[in-house]
Amino acid sequence: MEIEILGALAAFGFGWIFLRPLAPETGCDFIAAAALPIGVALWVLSSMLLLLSLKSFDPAHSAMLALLIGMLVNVSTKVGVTRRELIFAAGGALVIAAFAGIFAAFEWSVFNSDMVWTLYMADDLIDHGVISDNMRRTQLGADPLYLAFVSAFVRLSGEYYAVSLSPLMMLCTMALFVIFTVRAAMSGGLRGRGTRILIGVLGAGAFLSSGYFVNTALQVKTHSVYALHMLGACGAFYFAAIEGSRRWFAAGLMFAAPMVMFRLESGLAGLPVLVVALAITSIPLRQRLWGVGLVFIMWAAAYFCLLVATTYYDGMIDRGYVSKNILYTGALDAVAGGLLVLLAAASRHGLIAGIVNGLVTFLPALMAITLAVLLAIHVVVFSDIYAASAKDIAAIIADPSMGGVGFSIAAGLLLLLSLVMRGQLPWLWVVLVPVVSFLITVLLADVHLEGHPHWGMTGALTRIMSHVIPTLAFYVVLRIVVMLNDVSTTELQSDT
Amino acid sequence: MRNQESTRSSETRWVTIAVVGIVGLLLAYNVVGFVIERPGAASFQTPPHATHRAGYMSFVESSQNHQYDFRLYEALRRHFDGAELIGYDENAVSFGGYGQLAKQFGRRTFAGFESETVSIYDPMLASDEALKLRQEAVEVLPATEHLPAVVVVAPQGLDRLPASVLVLQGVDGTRFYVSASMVPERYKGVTGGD
Repeated sequence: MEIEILGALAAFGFGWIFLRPLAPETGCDFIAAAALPIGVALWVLSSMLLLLSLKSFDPAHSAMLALLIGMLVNVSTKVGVTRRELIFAAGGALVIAAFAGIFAAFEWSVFNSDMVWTLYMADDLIDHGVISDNMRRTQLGADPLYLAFVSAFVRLSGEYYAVSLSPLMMLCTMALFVIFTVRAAMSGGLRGRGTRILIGVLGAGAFLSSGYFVNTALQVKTHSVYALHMLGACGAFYFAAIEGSRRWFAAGLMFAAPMVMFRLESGLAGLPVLVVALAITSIPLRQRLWGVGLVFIMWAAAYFCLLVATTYYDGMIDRGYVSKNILYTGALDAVAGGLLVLLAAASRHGLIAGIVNGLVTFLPALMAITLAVLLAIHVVVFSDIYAASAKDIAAIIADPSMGGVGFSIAAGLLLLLSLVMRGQLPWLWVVLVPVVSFLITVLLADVHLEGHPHWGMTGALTRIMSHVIPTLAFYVVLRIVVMLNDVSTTELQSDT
Repeated sequence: MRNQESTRSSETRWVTIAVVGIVGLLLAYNVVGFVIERPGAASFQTPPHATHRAGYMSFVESSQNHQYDFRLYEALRRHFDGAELIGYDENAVSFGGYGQLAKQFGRRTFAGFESETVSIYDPMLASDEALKLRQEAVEVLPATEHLPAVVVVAPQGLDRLPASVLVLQGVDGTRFYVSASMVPERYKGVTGGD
């Protein structure tokens, strides 16, 4: 238990130092909620960088590098520390430490069978300090290294695996959900503000306690981490759009960038988040192009390294069916990143900037339509698979044992209600488009990755589908809150 | 004008009541699910899933009753002399079962036990080959037999061939199955056991 508390506190510290320059616009509460997940990601990224530079795995060295990166960010941004910030940091650390202890003691996490291979990689990291042939031959090309690094840290102390990781991520997801919706609720008129805040808090509790999400997120895998980062990225981009805030935009990128470490399909499935970020016209074009381009390049670099790591010394590619996907996805990310960086460099010219700005504005719609058309074609061509998939998905929604019945009914009713009610709701598509695009991508993957319907209690795609649950629930609650904001503001104007 | 505002205000009130009601009901439904241990849902009483607890308890009880014969596994380890012998079953390793196995076999070893179906997972095999292997095993050992089978796959560290050895042991300790088609010549005939 002690090692989990220590690890959580250290990760919270790295994340807080790294993120705190964003506090003047995002608020100290957001930094406190985001510090743990970003801190863990930063530590894992540092471990990977050290491995790449042929240093052997050592958690202490990774911690020092993570700390160094955080301090460099602080030195370069020169944002002074405030008393309020320190109070939030201390409070956040206290909560994280307390819950890390509680979660480690109660062991609510499920040991998913895939975890065996993750532990195998973790043990190899401990024993050899490098990516060994055993790791190449097992799951390196199929399971993310993120969990292997975190597990290795815990296992070095003699514990079996990181029991508190998934529940802590769920806690942070709930905190982010509440912080986002409360922030949205505060932007409307005073009338009904308390009710709007209540909706945000109730919504977070209600949706994130749904069995489907809890059962999936509590597995010792990276589902809860991915779901958190997707919510964090979409929420941050939404506020970047609505407030025209560069710091919120940077926060969104910080949530999106590590996704590739959690899930190997992120280079494709996470792409809609970056496409949406490109189209946020309230942020200067140059910053959008540089920021999103660099995240794409980081993703491509991660895939390139993974490809090298999974290739044997004689050139034979292990688990070819996975590696080919890694190759294609990495190449796609590299092309996108390279193109965006080139455009960023060329955007000094007014004409080019105007054209690019006009083009990227249409990208989200183009992407959503393309995916929808692709899905329609797939449904026709692979009608038997999609018919079976539709049946399976309906069964998942209707089966009480999957824990999604209440969630689906409530989300459906609220969505219907919000659509029936009128209101000016700008920028909400920033949250909706990634969710819809992700779900369509998962449906397309049903054919290309599985070749047969693969839904249900043990289906990987069922678990993957849960990645958008917090973001989808956030969209539903946000839509209601923003709509009530609008009504409240209108009433206030008519009163005056 | 005043009437329009009044209507809108009334609409807002009803929307607010509906939203708080729906979200509140969902929260209550989920909380009750936790407390009364709704089948399949996460629960404070059997966190996080009843089937995992059942699988884990079944494993622990069987282990305590000496139903599983660890000698076979250890003999195979000696036979392969340094090979990494890996097998797994999600019930066995779920929710703490891994700790039991680690104590029994050491940190680097994983083993799996299952009561009804046979799991095979070999990282050196393409998924269709593994499925075929699994099918062969199931044909040999009818699923109704309730075998606490030991599944051992040994792909690691021997050579670059797809060396896969599958050994299953029945309750009575006499029934073995080796997938000869997948085993390199030098390992054929191995059935394990002391």
